[in-house]
Amino acid sequence: MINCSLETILYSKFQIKMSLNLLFILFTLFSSYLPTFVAKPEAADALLKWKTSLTNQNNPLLSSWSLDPTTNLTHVNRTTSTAPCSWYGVHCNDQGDVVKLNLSTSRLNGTLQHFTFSSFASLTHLDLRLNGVFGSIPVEIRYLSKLVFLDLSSNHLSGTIPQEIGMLTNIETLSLHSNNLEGHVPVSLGNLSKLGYLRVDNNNLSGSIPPELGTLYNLVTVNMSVNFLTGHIPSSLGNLTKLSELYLFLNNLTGLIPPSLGNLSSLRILYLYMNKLSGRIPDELGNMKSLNLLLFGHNKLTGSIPASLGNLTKLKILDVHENLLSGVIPPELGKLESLIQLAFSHNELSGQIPASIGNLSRLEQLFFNDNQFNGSIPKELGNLNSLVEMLLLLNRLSGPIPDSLGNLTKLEQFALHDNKLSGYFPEGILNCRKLRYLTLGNNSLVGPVPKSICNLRSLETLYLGSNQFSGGIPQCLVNFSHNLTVLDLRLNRLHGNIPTTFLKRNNNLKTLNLNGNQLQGSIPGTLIDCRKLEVLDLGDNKLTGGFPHWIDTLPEMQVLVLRGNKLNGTLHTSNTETPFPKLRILDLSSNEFTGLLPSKYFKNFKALMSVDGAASGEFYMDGKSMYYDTVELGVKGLRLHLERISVVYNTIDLSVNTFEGEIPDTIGQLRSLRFLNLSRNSLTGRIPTNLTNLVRLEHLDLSSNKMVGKIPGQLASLTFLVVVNFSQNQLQGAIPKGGQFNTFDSSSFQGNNGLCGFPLTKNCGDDGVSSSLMPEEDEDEDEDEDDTFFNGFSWESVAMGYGFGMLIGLGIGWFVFYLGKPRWVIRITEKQPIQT
Amino acid sequence: MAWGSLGALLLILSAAAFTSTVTANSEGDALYALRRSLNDPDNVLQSWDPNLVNPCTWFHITCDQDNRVTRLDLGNSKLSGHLVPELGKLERLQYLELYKNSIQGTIPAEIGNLKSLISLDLYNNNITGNIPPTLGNLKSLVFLRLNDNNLTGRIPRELIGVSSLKVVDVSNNNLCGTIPTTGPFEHIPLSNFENNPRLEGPELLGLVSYDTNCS
Repeated sequence: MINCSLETILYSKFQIKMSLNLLFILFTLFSSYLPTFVAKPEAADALLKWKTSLTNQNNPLLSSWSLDPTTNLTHVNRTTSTAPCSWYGVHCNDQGDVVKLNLSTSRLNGTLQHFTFSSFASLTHLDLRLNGVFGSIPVEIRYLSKLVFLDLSSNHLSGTIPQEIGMLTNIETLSLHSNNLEGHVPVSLGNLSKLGYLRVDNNNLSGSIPPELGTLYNLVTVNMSVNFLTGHIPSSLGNLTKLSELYLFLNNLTGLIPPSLGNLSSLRILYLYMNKLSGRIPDELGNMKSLNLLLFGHNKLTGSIPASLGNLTKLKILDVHENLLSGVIPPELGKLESLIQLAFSHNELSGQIPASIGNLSRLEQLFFNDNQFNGSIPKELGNLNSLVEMLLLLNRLSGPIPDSLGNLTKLEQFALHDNKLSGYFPEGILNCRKLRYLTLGNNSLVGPVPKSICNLRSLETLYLGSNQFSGGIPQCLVNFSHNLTVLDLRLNRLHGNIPTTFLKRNNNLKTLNLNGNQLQGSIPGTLIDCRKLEVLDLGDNKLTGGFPHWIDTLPEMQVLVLRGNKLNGTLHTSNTETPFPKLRILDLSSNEFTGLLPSKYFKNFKALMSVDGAASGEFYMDGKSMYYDTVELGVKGLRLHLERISVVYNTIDLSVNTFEGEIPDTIGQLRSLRFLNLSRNSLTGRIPTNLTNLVRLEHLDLSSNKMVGKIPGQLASLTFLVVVNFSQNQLQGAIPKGGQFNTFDSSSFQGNNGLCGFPLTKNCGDDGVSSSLMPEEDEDEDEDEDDTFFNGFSWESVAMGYGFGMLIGLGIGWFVFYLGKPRWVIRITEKQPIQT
Repeated sequence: MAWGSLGALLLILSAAAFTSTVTANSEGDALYALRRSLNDPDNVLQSWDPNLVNPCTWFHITCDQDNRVTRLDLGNSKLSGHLVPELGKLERLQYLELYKNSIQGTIPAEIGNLKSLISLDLYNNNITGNIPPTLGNLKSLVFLRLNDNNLTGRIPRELIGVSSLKVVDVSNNNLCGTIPTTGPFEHIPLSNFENNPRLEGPELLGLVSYDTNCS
């Protein structure tokens, strides 16, 4: 590789010289060769023939490829007899035989089918990398028997790697990576005894790795990553004592990691991540004394981490994340003095974190999250003074957070959430002035939230929620950092008022979550300065005062939860023409609001009006500095905790207030609404028929109001409706039949004296049918013939038309099922040319 | 090379680091198996994220207070593909609503494990094969609507023992044998058996063997 990049450099210089027409210099340069140039018309003809087969034969880079003397006069060669040796990218030996073709990055578009390999018997180097060559690799490549260097990488080659490549027995470098090659890796590669460098990565190769490769003792680099290879890693690879780099990541390899790999005493890089390897990590790997990088992440490895790995004193990265490893961390790993990254996340490791980890003085990243580590955090971790990221979240760590961690002055990310830590807020870590991300949420920390947090001026995410912090919220917490995007203090015991001194300029706060505390007073008007606010959750506090109508002017607001407070008055809106343009979740339930429902809002919730049910882009709200917004909502009869908030979890909950008047018709415009709860108010009037427009609706609760009239029969067409509650109103007439209404039980309808029909035991008499049900059905026939179909299926009725054919099933386009299976997503992001 | 791919790996790591662990979530896994087995042109299953602690926040899934799945509501959703035996793991499922889709294949016998099932609505699909006799284990079943499919074989006599059944509709299939008349079938109108060319009339007790015309 180094040789060939040198060659590239030489070539680019060569071109510059040409373009400057410094002929005399070139003449001097080539004078020693020129006398020996002999015309080799065969090679020249072959190149010209190939050139004409290219789709872009007018490629200016190939303008020298011509026998036309007028063209050649402008170039270095002085007589046509020097063709093709003087042509761009062509190198000849003293006998005038073409020995090297260096056409990398030459904008070649075309196939190799018209390349006459047999005309280049002396060729030792063929470099076509980084072009647009497509089609297959012709079997005639076998004629290049002197070939030492073959690089066809980063093209669009397809088809299989021909067996005949195994006849190129002089080859030392074989690079076919970043193409669309498929089929097996040919066993014949085992004949290439001089091969030192093999790259077939980033293709669509399948089948297994030929064990014959284990006989190629000169191999230094093997890269077969990002393919679809299956089967085991051949143990014969352990014979390759010169091997320095072995990349097999992102395949479907199974079976054990062969213990013989421990013999690879020259190996520096071993990438086996993202396969399906199982079994234990062999103790023998501790013999790979040269190893720098060991990446085994995303496999199915079991057993414990071998203590022998502590012998790998040159190791810089030890990454075994996302496996099924168990047992304790061997204290011997404290000997890995070169280690920069240690990644054990997402395993089943347990026991205490060994104090010896504190010896890893070069460590920058410590990823121990998602395991079962217990005991306290060793104070020795405070010696890791190179540490930038420490992720200990999702373990069972207990006890106080050691003050020694304050020595980690380079620390930027410190995640301790979801553990069992106790004690006060660890003021020691306030010395870590570079902290951008501090999460101590979901532990058992007590005492006040100290003002001194405000010294962490780089902080972007502060998550202290779900602890037992008490006292007030320091005023400075809302203005100490222009970078602060997330302030999450939810579910603590904080009291007093919400701070009012929000930053007026460069306020980057996107999430303010103070849910579930004992905060009092009114919602501060200064929140209006948080122009980027997306999530405001002040639910379940003791807030008083009116609805903060000015909030509807915050352009990014997506989630507004004020439930469970003592807010009162009417929902008057601000004067803005476009209130809440992005709002998707509005929960004002369990307050003391009065007056009419906010029909102006219903008219303007743009985000709830788009018809597409699926999220086109990201399904969840953006992560913010690795924090994910969460919210708890009352939907479908449960309090549901959304670990991450979907961008289509469209919810309006105005229940348990004293709203009065009718449900405005404008509600029918909120076509992508999923959950609508208006229960336990004093609403009057009829149920708007245009609720039928809410085709995504799963939950409709209008119970405990004073509503009259019928339940619109068209609601039976809402096939996603799962939980309905019309109980405790003054509704009349027949309950709609068919569709989802087949599946609702009587509790959804009880407490309405005038309702009849399934599932209530009260039958609709003739009057009921003729006066209320029949007209409804007439309407249905115009709009939706399916309704008639459904109506035929109630358990009481019998008559139905059987002419209904298989309407469905025809015309449904086949959809290639593309699941967000992490592995595949990652495969896509990973599948890029790998730079050497 | 090493550091280039390392960058990519770190991205993976930081993304992976903060997703919560999938705890014992067998119901979510069962439903996810269904998702993998279905074709979903309208993306109605987009929210079925197996990385969440349980499936209760997925659309079209309803849970009880213990976060156990009670309803699966995907009628009229343009789904095709197959049902999966894993559905039988949803112990508290009461409503299985998959009507008016283009689902093919057979009804997994494991549906018979759904002891809490009240309603099995698979009508208007392309389902083939027999009605599994294991449905006779569904002692809470009230609604069994399998009409408008391509079901073959006979109506399993095991269903006679499901005394809770109020509605049975198997019309527009290709069933054979005779129509049961005892137990819950006493009150099912004959029209709910129509358009099964090989299905004989109501069985006359003691006179006709019920698998007449079934081979």
